[in-house]
Amino acid sequence: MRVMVVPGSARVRLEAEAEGLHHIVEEFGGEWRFAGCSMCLGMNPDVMAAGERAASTSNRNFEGRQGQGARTHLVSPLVAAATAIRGTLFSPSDLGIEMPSYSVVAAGA
Amino acid sequence: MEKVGLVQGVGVPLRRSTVDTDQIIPAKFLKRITKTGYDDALFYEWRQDPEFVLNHEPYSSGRVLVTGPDFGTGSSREHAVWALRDFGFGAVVSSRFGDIFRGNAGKQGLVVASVPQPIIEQIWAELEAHPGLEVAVDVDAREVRCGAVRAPFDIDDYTRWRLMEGLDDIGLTLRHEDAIDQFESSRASWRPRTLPIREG
Repeated sequence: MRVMVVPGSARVRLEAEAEGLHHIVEEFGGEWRFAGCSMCLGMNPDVMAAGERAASTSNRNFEGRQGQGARTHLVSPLVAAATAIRGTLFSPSDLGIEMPSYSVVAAGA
Repeated sequence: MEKVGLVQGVGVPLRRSTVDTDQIIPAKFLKRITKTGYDDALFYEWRQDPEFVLNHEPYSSGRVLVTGPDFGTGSSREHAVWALRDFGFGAVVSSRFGDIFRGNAGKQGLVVASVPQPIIEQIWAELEAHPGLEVAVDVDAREVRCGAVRAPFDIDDYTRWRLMEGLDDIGLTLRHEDAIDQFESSRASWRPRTLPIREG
């Protein structure tokens, strides 16, 4: 299994590094990358081989988009992290660890 | 852009729905820096299958693509229009199009004609019963014709006008060339200028 973590922008990357998050990724064996397209659309060498599957936090799961003959599962960052830990599509709530709680607040008028 | 009043030629039945732009042209071809020469990239992955419709005569010289609903959804990709055009298609007939694809097509002279899905089914039946049968997409009359099928299609007045006049975005601007020249002639010579490209 290959784990790539690609920050959404250069600023997000710097903020994450300020928190030391990149050390966690690298110690885990993941790749801590610069912000960029990466595997989103299969335009550069970041592609899967035929028959491979990705748990991806990108936004489109069209057939072959992330590599000819490969398939994409769109997941949240939490599910992606749990999947990286277990090596198969996995729910974070089944990891047996205490999960942070989140609430969604509607923004705007 | 050439004027488009009538597109007529071999009809290709593509029995698929939700053909997104990643299927029409995979992103790896977007690194090319030309605006033409994408015929080899059209439906690239599907064409690796020898059974795919475009790998067979007479469909390999297709002119009108007849496909299921939601054609051209997904990422905005002008290359999707270029690939269809470069392969030889002048029109796509579907029961529903992705909005961005529809816009891109209209601006580049590729006709997109919306007809109800039952009409698509009738055209598919005609094309499969008579391979090589021609489909006519008549922009002037807003009508699709194929064998015994004859149906009106939806196209907005503005896009239809642009197609029939052969006006892409630059062409639209150049309709006001006199006004542009007049403005530029009264503008201080040291300021930046917009000049039309002159032949020769």
